[in-house]
Amino acid sequence: MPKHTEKEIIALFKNGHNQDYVFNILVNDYKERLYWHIRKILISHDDTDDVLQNTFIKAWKGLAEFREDSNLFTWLYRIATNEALSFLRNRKRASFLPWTGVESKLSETLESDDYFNADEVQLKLQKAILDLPEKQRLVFNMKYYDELKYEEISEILDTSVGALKASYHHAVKKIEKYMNDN
Amino acid sequence: MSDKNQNRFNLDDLEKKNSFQAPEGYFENFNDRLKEKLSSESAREKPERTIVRRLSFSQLAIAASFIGIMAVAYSGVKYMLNRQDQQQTVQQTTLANLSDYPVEDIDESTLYELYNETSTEESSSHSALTSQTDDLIDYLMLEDAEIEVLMQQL
Repeated sequence: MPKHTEKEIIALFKNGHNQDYVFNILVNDYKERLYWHIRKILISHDDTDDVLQNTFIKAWKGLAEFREDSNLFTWLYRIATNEALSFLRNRKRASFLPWTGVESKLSETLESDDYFNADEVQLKLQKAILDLPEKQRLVFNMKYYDELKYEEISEILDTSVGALKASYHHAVKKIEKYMNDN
Repeated sequence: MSDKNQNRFNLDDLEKKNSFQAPEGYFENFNDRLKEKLSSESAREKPERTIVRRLSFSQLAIAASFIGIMAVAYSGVKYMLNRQDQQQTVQQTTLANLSDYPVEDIDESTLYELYNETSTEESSSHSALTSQTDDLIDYLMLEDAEIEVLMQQL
């Protein structure tokens, strides 16, 4: 959990407080949550590391323009999500893979990843999640693992709460079907 | 049927856990590596940006439009002023040069040629021309020249 409130961080930044100190606060408070969020999208630790660094660099450069009426946490989450999805799209473009090809690559990465330690059921669950369409996968991870409120997810993905509830419901049904059929 | 239902997978029954792991010490070293990357990126971005590069697209568009409007307005005004000047000059020059000729020797066609000749020449001094024109008119009045014919030719 963050040790500083969002208002404190923004105030420190805008008051011209020691920039190194503010930067450390921002990174320390959010790096772990953002890491796990990105990791569930990209699966590979190395890719996650790259994207997490880019997320903080972008956030730091854009912090001066951050509107205080929005939520710092959801703003960071949105940057992280966009960066992760762009990373996947660039990879897809570079390797001429269709989207399903990228998903099966992620599934292969999952099995060979040194930093993934799961029993058979958990591995199957992750494969079921990777089998979901991109948007449903994002919604499922944010709701099920990150336990975000629909309102927060709505702000991050710029999607209505109703649509998110429907997405999550479909995602759960598809996962259960996958788990039963495989 | 109930057996079948009992064996069915239900997400709510599964223990929620994160099977992903991060390398040891990853989060502890993250800040240092991030700062290194940030400073190397800043160094790469350092080369001085020109004024044009500092402006956003919309700012450039506004500046270009402003320059365009000013250029069109300037050309329009300059054209109008030149035209006015030229009309005045031709009239004044023609009339001024007529004083060099004895009016009684001038017929209408000579006057017309004289007008064509002189219309291309430029007047050097506006005030001098005005006084010369007045002199010429006085002279013509004195010599009882056919001013109406002259005016028609002009």
